[in-house]
Amino acid sequence: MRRPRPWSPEAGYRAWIILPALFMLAFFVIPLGRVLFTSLSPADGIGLGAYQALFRDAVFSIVLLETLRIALMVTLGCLVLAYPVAYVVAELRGRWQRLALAMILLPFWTSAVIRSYAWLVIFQRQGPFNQVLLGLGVIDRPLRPLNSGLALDVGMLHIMLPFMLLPLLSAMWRIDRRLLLAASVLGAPPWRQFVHVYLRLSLPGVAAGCALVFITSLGFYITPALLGGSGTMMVSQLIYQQASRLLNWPLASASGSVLLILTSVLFVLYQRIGQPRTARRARPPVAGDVAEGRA
Amino acid sequence: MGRTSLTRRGLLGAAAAGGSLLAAPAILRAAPASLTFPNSGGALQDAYRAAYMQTYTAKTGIEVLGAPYMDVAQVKAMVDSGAVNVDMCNLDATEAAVLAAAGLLEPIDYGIVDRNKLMPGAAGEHVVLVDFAALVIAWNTRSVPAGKAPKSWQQFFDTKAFPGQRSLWKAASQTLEVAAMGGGQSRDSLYPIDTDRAFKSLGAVRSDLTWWESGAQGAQLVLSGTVDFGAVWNGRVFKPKLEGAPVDYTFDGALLTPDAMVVPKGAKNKKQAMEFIANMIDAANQATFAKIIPYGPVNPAAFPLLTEEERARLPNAPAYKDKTVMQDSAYWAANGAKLIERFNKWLVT
Repeated sequence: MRRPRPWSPEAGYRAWIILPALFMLAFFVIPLGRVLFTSLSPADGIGLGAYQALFRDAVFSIVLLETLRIALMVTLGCLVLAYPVAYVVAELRGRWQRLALAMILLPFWTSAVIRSYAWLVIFQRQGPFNQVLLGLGVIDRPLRPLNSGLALDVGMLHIMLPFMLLPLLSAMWRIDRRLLLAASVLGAPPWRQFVHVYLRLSLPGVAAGCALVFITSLGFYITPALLGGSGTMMVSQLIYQQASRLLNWPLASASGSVLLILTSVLFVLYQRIGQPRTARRARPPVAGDVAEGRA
Repeated sequence: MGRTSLTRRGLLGAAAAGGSLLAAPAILRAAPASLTFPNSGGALQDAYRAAYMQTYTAKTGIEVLGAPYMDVAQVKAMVDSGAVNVDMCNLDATEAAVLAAAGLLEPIDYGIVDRNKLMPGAAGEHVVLVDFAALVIAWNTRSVPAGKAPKSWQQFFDTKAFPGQRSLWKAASQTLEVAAMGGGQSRDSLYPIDTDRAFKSLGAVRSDLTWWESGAQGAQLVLSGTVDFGAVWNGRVFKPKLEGAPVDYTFDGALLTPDAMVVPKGAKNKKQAMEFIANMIDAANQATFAKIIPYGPVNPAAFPLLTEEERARLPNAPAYKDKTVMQDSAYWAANGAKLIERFNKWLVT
């Protein structure tokens, strides 16, 4: 009697990939192709007219730069806030760890619209933010964080934080604690154990978190609409204006395509240089990698 | 035996069912069971339901189903793909004008909709205006002492005589109109908008300005005292004022912003949609609507059906005739792209 072969990805099951591939084709590739096509076919014939119109006056470039600046600020802010938190949560065990994870995930499940409105209330003139600062005597008249753009940075930071925390945690959980022990046995002081071993092994999480936060931040719409400063506009708001108020779909598609191309370039960069060699080989980091890294 | 006869009966039944199925489309076309009606929802849909949807159903037996708001882009996508599955839409008049200019609407059948019932300017070729909301000056009565609130757009944009934080809609439409009036452009000759004047007024208040981007947010800014006064849609502050919130407003200088009805090109129940619109401009129904929500009628015959108090809260009531101005949606359809581009530029530079 023939024994059934053990399951392996090579055993012909690869054909199943056709299902998700078809789904992606129908709901991702074809619509995006249409967006690109629309951006190339403005009213006056096929060509780059929409892109020329986009960059003819300074508004799109200014808004694009502002969008990139906000996304960068949010990414850095998330990294600074999330790294220590992820470090502590990764050390926790049992009930405490579950509690910490729940606290990270609960806001994650609340709509971004509701959280943006919540920040709107917190930052208004008689809101808790000003009340606390006034009460402490830090300021003598209410600040206007809604005008300066501070509210937008804080609101987006809050919404994006779990997207940084989760990849960091997943990287940190995979770090073999015995490596730190080995480093200390070999005479490394604690800061050196952290910088040369722990930080280095957590870099795949840092890269993944940064890519996720940065790319998602580029497309924010409702939060900048509610919390944006007096002169703040993000690309998504321009796209909405063109698509929905003015029915100029070629221009809207061109704006979207610029954002898409930019995102793709950043993603390729992330895959090329953002991830250390260990992660690219798609296996968990082991002791040998550290030695390699030092060599 | 029994089995064969059963089969035969089954076959006969199937044939009968098939026959009625074939006939069904003709019956549906004659009288649809329901009409689909996208609109802004919320309090507005409640008023539409009581005043227009239920009265239409009572008259015709055809149910009217409210549906989520369809903006200009959604209507275009629907018409372009040839899958028009709604019968009539309620939109802001400037949005309706954009659709009309793009050729995406059915012409209004004035054989069914009685043009004579409508105010001048309400009966367009592809668009019928059905009610008037307004952008008004509202102020927080706690932070602005009595008598110190701006009562005209010129005062609104005068930071010396009227110090304080103010708010405007972060959009070209409506904001450029009130800014131009703030710079002294007269109400009677508001179009074409004197944009130099408008941007000069906006520049003058720039450091005392908080923008809003949704109607609820605009009202919240004034109600919470985050700003001292602001340009707000009257429907958003009407109820808080009644319920005792620290807010008041004036119809002096109010910019009337009509809601409009349109029938997307290729709509399947065109005749019924026109009959629905005809039912909307009926004086009694318009009065019912204006009693529920403070948006004024387009059929002047509705005013006598309202009490003095009810009339006073409608922005287009005869008493305010010489104080308000109606937004020109055709002007925005023709010049919107240029004005929005210039507004964006001013905003970000």
